Amino acid sequence: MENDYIVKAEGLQVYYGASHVLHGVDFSVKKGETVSLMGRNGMGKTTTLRSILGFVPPKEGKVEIFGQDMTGARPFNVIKRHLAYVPEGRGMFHNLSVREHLEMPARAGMDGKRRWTFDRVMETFPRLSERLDNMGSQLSGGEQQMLAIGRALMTNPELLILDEATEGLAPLIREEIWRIIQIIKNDGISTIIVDKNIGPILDMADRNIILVKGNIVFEGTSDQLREDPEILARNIGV
Amino acid sequence: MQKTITIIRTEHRRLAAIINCFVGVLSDMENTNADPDFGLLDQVHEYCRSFLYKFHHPKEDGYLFPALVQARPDLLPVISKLESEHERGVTLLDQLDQALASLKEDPRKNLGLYIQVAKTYRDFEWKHMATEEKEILPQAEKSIPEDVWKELDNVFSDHDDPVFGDKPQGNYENLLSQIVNRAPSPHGLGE
Ligand SMILES: Nc1ncnc2c1ncn2[C@@H]1O[C@H](COP(=O)(O)OP(=O)(O)OP(=O)(O)O)[C@@H](O)[C@H]1O
Ligand SMILES: [Fe+2]
Ligand SMILES: [Fe+2]
Ligand SMILES: [Mg+2]
Repeated sequence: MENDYIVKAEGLQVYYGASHVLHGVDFSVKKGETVSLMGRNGMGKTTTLRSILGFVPPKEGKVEIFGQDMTGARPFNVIKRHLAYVPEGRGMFHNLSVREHLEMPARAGMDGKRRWTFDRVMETFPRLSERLDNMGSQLSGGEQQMLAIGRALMTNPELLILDEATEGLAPLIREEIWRIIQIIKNDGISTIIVDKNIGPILDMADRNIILVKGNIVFEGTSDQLREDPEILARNIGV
Repeated sequence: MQKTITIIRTEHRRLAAIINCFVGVLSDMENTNADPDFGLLDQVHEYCRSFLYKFHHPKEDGYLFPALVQARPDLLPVISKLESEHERGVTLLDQLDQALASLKEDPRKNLGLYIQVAKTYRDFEWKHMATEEKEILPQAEKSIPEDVWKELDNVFSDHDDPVFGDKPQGNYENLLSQIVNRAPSPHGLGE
């Protein structure tokens, strides 16, 4: 059904100045779906996300959010439509406390309900509850990532977009992040995951997309990728 | 991908990360001469014991392995070996418990021995999990019939099942969080 789509992007052609970065990318996410976006460094994963969100408007192509044409709309107006974006590097405010980070963006979801409240975020990230009065700048990388995800949840999104959420974290901290992403998935929130850890991604994603130089070279289930390891070896190098 | 297989893989990943962090913390402790954090060590022991032996192995011994032997009798030797390794793992964990008791009595004198037992335990569990991931899960996926998978998926997802006790999933996930929060940097989120 057409209106099952949260995001439906078609034929995205994106440039940074003269450099042509996305060559006709089709990308969609349906309600409840977990979609991974994989590819080596510089292949256009972040750019795909940023063009959907309006940070880099596509030169050609179309972006629909909940069936409405949002091509070229401003990021604020796109994200307002119940999307939450956790960018690479997490985007903390150094002079805001953990509590302020969480309270500021709080709002009800598309159905008018607040399933993710301050208390529920505290329960999910016990660590943050011990750091409420700390400033963003005082947090470790793992804590910042938790805060970034917690803050995204406070907006009660329909779709959570995670760009390299586990990058630079110790293996055990990564596991904790994956555990939390699983909770979010079980909660029915759709997610787009960009990450370099293939194992957990394959366990979690309903559908995987591989980008090579701004082109989609594979789209399919985790089973397909496991059955034919050559696809990952060729395109990602694992 | 069968849900059961995803659950087993995830459990392996978590255990591997915990044990790896544990050995990392111990090595740092040895290098810096820092006092052991016994609370953390207790939690790691508790995780291995309750999660692995009360939660993870029963799924394999009680459900996955029998279903696989049914479908693939030729795999009986490797499965028997894995089952006996589950028992061996308990013995090694008992030894680790004893080493921890000695460590608590005399940290300076007994740290070396404790680390040695911990590394043996890690190597053992890693090898065991690697065999399951390489030799068992792919075969299971290919050979166990769909209706049996449905049953397994049901049992494995129903974590309040009497087989696994009362809310074990939530309990061990809490314990995982506690360990992550307490383990010192760079391994965990602690100081
Ligand atoms: N602001 C920018 N200006 C110019 N070129 C850019 C800009 N951002 C990215 N690029 C280039 O666009 C291409 C795609 O980059 P993008 O960040 O989308 O890749 P990625 O797949 O997210 O990589 P990574 O795994 O390193 O995050 C790269 O060649 C990159 O150098
Ligand atoms: Fe096992
Ligand atoms: Fe196992
Ligand atoms: Mg990127």
